[in-house]
Amino acid sequence: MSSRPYRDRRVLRRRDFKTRPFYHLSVFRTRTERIMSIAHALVATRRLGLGPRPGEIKAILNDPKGYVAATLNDSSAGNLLVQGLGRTEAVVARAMSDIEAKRSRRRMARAAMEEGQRGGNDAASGAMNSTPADKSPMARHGIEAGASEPENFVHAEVEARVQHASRTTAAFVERLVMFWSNHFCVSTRKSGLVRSIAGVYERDAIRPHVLGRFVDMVKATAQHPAMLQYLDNAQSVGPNSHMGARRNKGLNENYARELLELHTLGVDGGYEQTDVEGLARILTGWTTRLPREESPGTFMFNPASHEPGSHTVLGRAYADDGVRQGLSAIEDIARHPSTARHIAKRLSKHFVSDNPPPAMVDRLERCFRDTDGDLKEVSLALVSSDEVWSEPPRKILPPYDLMIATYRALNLTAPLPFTLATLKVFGQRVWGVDSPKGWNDDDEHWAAPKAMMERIDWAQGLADRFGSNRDVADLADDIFGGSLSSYTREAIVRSANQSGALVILLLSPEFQRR
Amino acid sequence: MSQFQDALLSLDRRSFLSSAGGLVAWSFMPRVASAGRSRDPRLLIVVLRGGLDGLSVVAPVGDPNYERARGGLVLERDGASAAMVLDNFFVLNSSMPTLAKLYRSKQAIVVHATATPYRSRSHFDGQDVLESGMDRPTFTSTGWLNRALTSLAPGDPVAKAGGLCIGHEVPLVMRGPAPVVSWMPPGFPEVTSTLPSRLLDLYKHTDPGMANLLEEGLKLKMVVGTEKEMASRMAGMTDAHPQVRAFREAAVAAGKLMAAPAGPRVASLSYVGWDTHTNQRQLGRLLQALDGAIEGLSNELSSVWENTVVAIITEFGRTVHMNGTSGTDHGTATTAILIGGALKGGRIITDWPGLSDANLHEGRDLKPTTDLRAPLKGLLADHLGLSRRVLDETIFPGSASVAPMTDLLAA
Repeated sequence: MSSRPYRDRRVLRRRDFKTRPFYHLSVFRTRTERIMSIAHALVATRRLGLGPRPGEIKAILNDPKGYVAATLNDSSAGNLLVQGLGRTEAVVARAMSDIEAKRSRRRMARAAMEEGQRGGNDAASGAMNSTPADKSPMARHGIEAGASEPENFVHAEVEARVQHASRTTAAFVERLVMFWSNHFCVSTRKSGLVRSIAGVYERDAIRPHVLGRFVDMVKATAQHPAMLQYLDNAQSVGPNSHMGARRNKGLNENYARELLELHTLGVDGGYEQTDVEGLARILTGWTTRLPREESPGTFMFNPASHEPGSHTVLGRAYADDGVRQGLSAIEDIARHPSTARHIAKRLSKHFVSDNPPPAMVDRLERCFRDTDGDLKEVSLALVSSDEVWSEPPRKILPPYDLMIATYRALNLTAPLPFTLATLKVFGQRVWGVDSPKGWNDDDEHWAAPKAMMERIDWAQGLADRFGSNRDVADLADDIFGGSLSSYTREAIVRSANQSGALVILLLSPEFQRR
Repeated sequence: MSQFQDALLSLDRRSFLSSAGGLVAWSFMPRVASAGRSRDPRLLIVVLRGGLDGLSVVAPVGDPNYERARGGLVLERDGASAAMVLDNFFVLNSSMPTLAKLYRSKQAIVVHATATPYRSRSHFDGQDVLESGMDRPTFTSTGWLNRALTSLAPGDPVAKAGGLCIGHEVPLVMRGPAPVVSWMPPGFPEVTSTLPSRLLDLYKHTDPGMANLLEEGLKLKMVVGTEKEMASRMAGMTDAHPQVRAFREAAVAAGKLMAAPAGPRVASLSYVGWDTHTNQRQLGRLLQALDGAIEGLSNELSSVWENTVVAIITEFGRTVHMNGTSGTDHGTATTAILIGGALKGGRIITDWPGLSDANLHEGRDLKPTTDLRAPLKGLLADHLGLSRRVLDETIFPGSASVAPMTDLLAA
């Protein structure tokens, strides 16, 4: 019975309504209508959102679908503008100069040491010990070896992102940002530079396009320094280019392959090794400016490393036309039927389940093709799909989403170290994926047995430290619109104390799945 | 199919303790599971992430260029922290007394000047090659240890028992279609109340899928013990550095689970922090922590020690010379350490390349003379009973020219 919204039939018994009067709203003619409305409000705020904030369910009860759809009207709703967080050009320049400064400190230390060795004194040890390993920011945050400066960048970005997610009323758009950011992921694990600019990558290459055109997002990611570095395209050199011939450098297919396999066509999208190589050749010369140039580290097309000649991808030859050659290839790949299929599948899997209803996937695919990848239209098609509103909740919240849903429910602004520790222990640091595939999206990936135990420990720690500023049963009725199963509600009410009650609420199946 | 069946099916993929494959499989296990392999083998792969400076672990003091090449990184030979003599050429870092003891009792092998086929110096790509088993970075989604499990004969008890990983994420080496259960070292202070059992009760009424997952979690905890029990195992370590404790805790958890009658036979765990670009003195504490982990493993696995092999590997070594910040930069060849009662130990296996400038790889790194896949293939062949063809084509594709190292195991 796919129309059954939640698995416990006993939701909202008459007795429950007596204790929770606000659902006696006159707009609902029938009890069934009322129940459906609450179910839809939960889908709007949980499946399509980041979890309800107090009062939110009540506020949207009249028109949950309209509430979500309305968030798509502002085409810039995905943007995140935070005082003090610069745009790509400034952030990359700053990151590169920090890295350069660190290198020169090392050079100086080396020189001092050599001097010390020659002079037989201990001049070097002072320089060496000025930042003992134990006291460095990364050691304080328990972060493994790496430059300390990139942590400052990434922490500021994480804080801005978490605070935005905890408060935004356009939660569906933020979910789209998270989806696309993961689809086109870069990883802070790659290098100090990527760690420093992963946040601005999301702000500049992903956010502006989540309600725009897919092809523009592909282009923006392809030309962002974070992606150019993460998947090595910046280092890819045409073997027959000026630079390739002179310095014996060559192709790096990494980005071209992932562009086809992960970002656009999908692994079964009908491309072959020759297409990967053709695309890699076309994309040679797409690199970043050197440290001493103007706008260091930003995208440039370098004719000296671009492979000359015409190259073929998916049966179409692209004439050598400088940067245009790559842009044309990307435009064709982005509107390829396999891309529409791949994106439709991934979106459906993300928002519904591992095995999404085929009719829904077909609908999104058709919409993608008909609108030439207009992501606002595709997102609307998603919101308009009945399946989204009727399929039972299967997906276990990933750690980041669980944390945000908790912050929203409790109206909590947790200190950054708590947030960082949470994501570290659960293994989902923001932008810290370990593969270009992004975070695993399987329904129960994050619910490994030990992870469930860890969720309990985490919730208990959070309840003890921050607690709820109102009665937990009240809060539960608020954020679930009084629809909690009688079992869950009773377990909450019967808890010996409020912190135990809060743990039950946060660990309840209703809170854990969407 | 109902959502509950879905949930149960997906659960089955990852479960082992409560699965039919658990206890039952082991009680029916033939005395010799398959020709040419250890009986009821245990294999643990420990990945040291960041690039271990092998020359600081096992130092070639017999090499005429050692002192000149290593400069400030030369191991002390006298005094309280004097390196321990392994043979007339190599000494062992003084931070690793347990490893020394195992070596002397012929339960440890050091493979030196070894490297994966990867020759560049990116951690990311280096670990990709180390764990995927491919001959270059490919971002393959499965690891060689998982493929080893799926390559065993259908119904093989080792495969049925599934894999184990310690850590919140399954490391690449253990990723793949074979079922893997994960154990996380305690992260948040542990709940000691009746909350978990109350939640289990709630799930049983409302969400059988979650009930099964939590039940598994509680079972895992019963095998490993509560944090309090763990703390008693760690007695005497209260003053130890957090890193030393953390290494030990992960090792104790792995050992306990692998020693359990129905537990996994194949496991992986990883330790981070080996990227010693600056002030390499920190390496002493890391090695001390690793030695503590080795001690924890040998204690917890004592009942099955004669069937156990632990391989400690890393993505690459480090530069031979000290850099300008008293550390070392990314290099090439390094050491691999094998321990376990199943080994024919007490040996250093190496084709020593020498430390003269002319002999260094690209003028800076220890030159690789042993392909790391050789000892790993040797272990998988003799310990797990995998065929040469499977090793060449499935586990380490494109490695046909790398012969498995023979004679690693005791007869």
